[in-house]
Amino acid sequence: MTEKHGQAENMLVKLANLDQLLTLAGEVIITSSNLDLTYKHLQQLHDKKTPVARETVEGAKDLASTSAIISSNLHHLVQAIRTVDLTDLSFRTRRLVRDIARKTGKRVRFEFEGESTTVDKTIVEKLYDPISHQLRNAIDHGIEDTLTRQRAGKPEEGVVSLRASNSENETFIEIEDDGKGVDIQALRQKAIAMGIIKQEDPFTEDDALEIMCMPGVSTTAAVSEVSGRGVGMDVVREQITGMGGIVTFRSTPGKGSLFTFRVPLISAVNILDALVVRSGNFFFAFPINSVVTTISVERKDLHTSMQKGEMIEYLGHLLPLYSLNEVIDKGPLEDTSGLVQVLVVDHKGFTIALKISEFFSPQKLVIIPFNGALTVNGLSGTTILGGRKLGFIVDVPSLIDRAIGKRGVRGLRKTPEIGKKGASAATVKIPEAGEQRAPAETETASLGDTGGIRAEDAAAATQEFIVEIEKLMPALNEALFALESDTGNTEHINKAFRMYHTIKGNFIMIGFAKGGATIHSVESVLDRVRGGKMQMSAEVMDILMDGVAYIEEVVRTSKAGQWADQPSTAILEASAKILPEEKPQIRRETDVTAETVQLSHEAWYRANKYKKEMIPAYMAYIEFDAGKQPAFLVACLIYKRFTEIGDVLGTVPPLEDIEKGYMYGKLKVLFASPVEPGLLEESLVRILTRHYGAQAVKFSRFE
Amino acid sequence: MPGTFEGLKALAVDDYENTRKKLVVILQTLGIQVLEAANGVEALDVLRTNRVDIVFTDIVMPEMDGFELCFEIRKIPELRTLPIVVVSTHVDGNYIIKGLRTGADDYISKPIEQDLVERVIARITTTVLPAA
Repeated sequence: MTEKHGQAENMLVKLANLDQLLTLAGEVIITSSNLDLTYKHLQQLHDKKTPVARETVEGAKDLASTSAIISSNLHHLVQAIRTVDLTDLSFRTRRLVRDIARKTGKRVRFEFEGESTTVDKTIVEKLYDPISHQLRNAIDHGIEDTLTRQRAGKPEEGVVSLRASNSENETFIEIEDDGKGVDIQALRQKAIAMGIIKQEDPFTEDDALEIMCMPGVSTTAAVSEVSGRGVGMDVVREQITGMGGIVTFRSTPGKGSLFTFRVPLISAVNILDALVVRSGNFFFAFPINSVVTTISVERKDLHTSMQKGEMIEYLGHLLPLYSLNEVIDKGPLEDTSGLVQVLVVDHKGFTIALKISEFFSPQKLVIIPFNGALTVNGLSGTTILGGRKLGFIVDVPSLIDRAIGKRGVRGLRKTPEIGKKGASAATVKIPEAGEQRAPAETETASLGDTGGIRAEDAAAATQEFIVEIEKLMPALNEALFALESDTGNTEHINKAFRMYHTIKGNFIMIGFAKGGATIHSVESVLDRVRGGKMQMSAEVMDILMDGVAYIEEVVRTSKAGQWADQPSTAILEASAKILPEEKPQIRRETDVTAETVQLSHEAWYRANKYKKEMIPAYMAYIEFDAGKQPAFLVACLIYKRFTEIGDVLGTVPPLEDIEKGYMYGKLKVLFASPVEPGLLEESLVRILTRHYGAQAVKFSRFE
Repeated sequence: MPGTFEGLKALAVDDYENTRKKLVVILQTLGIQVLEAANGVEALDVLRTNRVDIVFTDIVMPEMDGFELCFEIRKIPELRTLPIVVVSTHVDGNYIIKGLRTGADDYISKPIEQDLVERVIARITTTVLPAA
């Protein structure tokens, strides 16, 4: 869902950031006009053939450094604006874990660490899918059922934790469970059976991951509802590598597994911190994240072997050495000086050394990616370097693939054959992944109809209310999780109730009647809880959590303009199960004209008293159209009007029935009043017809 | 018939600014001067220091909800007859009846529509018998 392009995405921006942006824009304008002045000044000097004064040069230099500072600030600011913390992700994953635990019937405690970690908004959205896959795997395949855990002497409750953190240029997501661990031996047997490794070959956790990532491989015999069979690791890794990241894992049999996703921090912005090098006649920019080091080596210190070609020694390892130009078919490098310039790059644990001609300082570059039609192996795009020179952006993963492919497999990897298969599998269309995405697409197939309002107005109004709802979500999430750990807390219950109530109102405002009805049922459940008519229970909590998930789905799809007003049958059914049956609103319609007013003993007594006091009694028969208000409400209001000028002795239908909603626009009122009969009748008829939609008022003396 | 209610002063009570503003705009269109409050407590503060002709209140609000507000208003002798209209998304009859019982004079459902607001104000500001 998050991968679709061209949809109207938006995000909330801190006002302070916008202010800062405005300030920076101001500085850009000032710098640009200063630049104009300097240029004009230089032009004058040139025209007069006067030598350039020292101050002018200094001035230009100042301008250059000012503009460098401004562009760097701008870049950082834009990145900061695009950045969000992981509160939202934490809420979503906590609900997800709850839901999976419910479906698998396992007892799981979920711990989320690092909510304050800030990550680019688009990255957070892309991370959710692989994270949710991995959490499913951890609970479904990792955590054992209660009985197995008891036998193994573990606490009954399994623990799954998600830890998020940032290093200087990477975001780390660690997902750990204390379950049974990955059966590495089983995977090894599978690899042997598939002919990928031989019996005597070593088999590491990295190799096990490669096997896990092969489509259709699963260590679980049964297909479960939650994570299925063989869906998962390959998809997870494909998604993470798609963001330029890597997946690693550790596992201890019987103790659990730890999967780590490492995703580069800045892959969403087309500005690259790069190290520029010259190799022969070409300039290349290497993403700084993938550069390990630069070294100059004496030509005599290179190792050469017949089998493996040139190697250099780095930190006690022998690294394969390639000529950058040769790897990307740009012709051989001039081999003259005694010193060889070497660049060491790394991706996913593959480390290679590259011979180049010259290093330049690291700089920020704007990437111009190659468009889809043009694929150049080892390169991902171009950039304009200082002096209007063209530079190529190096795609380090494919460069390493290419280098290794050119001269056979070697390097730091122990079982690179597996790696190659895994890597090629990642680009193959995986049927399971397609199946998984299908429901989301059918769900969004039709656009909601917007009635008679102009489509664009309706859409704008909808967006406005959707954004309002979105703003409420963190508080609602917070209230629910607080409620989950402190179920009796009326403050949380009231807060959640109000939030749901407001959101329902918003749904109704934008014409999502079914959405409103869905949230109404959640609200009704909460209302009973806060009124003390229902206990907080797991079922109630489920409904509340599902309510949030439903709202978030509405928000997500609405923002993409793809929401068709659909109720959540799951929520409606679950709440119907625990809510008392609604009283049937339709009772056999009483024939108001035929029925007589039943007087209570007390009313009978009052009627006799009025008779003695010569205060007349009247019978009024009213037919009215309540319009936009419920008929029973209008009937109550009419009743109240009669009490203002007399004493109501009884009605048809009786008041208690009216209050229950049994009212169809016909009402009889028996009342006594001392007001002069003519004035009384005239006033009542006037007010009832004018203000209460009365269409017929019959008035008669009652003896 | 805009302008009919000129000179009236209303108090709009709703914690949710979006819907409150919508009500305020409708009332102002009708020529009514509007004061605002975000919950029952604030509303009572406004009522203590201002003459108000009609109150429109939401039910579900923090601090003090609409029912409590009706109840509190009716406890103040001078405000015993102050017209109160409950404005809510609740179409549940029990809520409406509860509102009427705690002292409300009328009820409007959300989304608020101008013609209904007009009708309710007209109704509520008219007495059965013409003033003597």
